[in-house]
Amino acid sequence: MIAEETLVKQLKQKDTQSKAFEMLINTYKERLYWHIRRIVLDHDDADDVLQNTFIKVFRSIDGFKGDSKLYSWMYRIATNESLTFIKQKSKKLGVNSEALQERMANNLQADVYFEGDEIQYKLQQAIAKLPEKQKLVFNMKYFEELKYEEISEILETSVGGLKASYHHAVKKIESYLKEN
Amino acid sequence: MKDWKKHKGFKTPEGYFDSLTDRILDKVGEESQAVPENEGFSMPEGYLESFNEKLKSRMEPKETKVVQMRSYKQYWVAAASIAAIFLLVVLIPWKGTEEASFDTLASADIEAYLDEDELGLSSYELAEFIPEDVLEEDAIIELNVEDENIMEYLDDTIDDLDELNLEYDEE
Repeated sequence: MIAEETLVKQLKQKDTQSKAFEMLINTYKERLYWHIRRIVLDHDDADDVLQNTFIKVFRSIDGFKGDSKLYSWMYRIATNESLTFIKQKSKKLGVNSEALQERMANNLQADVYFEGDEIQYKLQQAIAKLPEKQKLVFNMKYFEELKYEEISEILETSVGGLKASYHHAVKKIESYLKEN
Repeated sequence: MKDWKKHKGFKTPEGYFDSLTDRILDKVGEESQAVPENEGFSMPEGYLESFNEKLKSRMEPKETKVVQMRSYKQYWVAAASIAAIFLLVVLIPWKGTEEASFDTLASADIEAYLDEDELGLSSYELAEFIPEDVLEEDAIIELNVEDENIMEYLDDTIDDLDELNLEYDEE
């Protein structure tokens, strides 16, 4: 795999930009898709947000200073785009973000692209009830298996805070699954 | 390490240590089953393969239809000429036309205007606009109306004069 520094350099140069961008998409599209999907839940919404994320990456690459890793920066953009999307959608529907996410989780069984069983359906309902940060941390740690250091760089939060959030999230989910 | 071997009085079931690892892993597995390992989400077939093309088409600048202004030029010129002529007719003070003033207005027109348009003014308010030299109290008080005219007016407007209980001076 091409070194990150080289890829960034190629992304910033006009003559190599197109090929480098395609490489970037191929490398990260699947990971970012699942990261976004876990936040927005619906496939079509995830597709929209994924496209917006890559467009934003492409337009902002000149401003990327390399203070963080490229993938952390892209994950951050994907996270922000997903959260912004949910806020806009909830505003359109006249409900708050939390209510919308709970409603979307409750409607998952009608989604053709959700093949989960009863326990997986309940897991999504439990995740939907978590506060935003705990939700993000739980998904990134439990399903995406990212390290605390990586999550810390993406969410710009301390590792200690993330550990506490994850711990609380797991406890809440376990207790929800036991009760329901 | 050697210390482990010192517990000579104790025994373990046969093959205990051989199966221990599996049993511990099973136990850990059972506990972690409380939270499922995957979520059950799926995506349409071939979605990721077609994603690059979809993104590319969205990023390419869309060609917009360019409308040539030249073909409309003659219409613009014609429209501008008509507008200019119209403005000349309306704005230039043509000789021979009388300038409208209050004196040229017929009284009937003024009355009709006052009747038809709601000025939002009471008769008292209207009276305030009349200059004092025109409207003098004497003009009303000293107005001499002949008795004959008054009787004529009452005769025309009142149905039954007797209802007024008028007292006539006997001549």
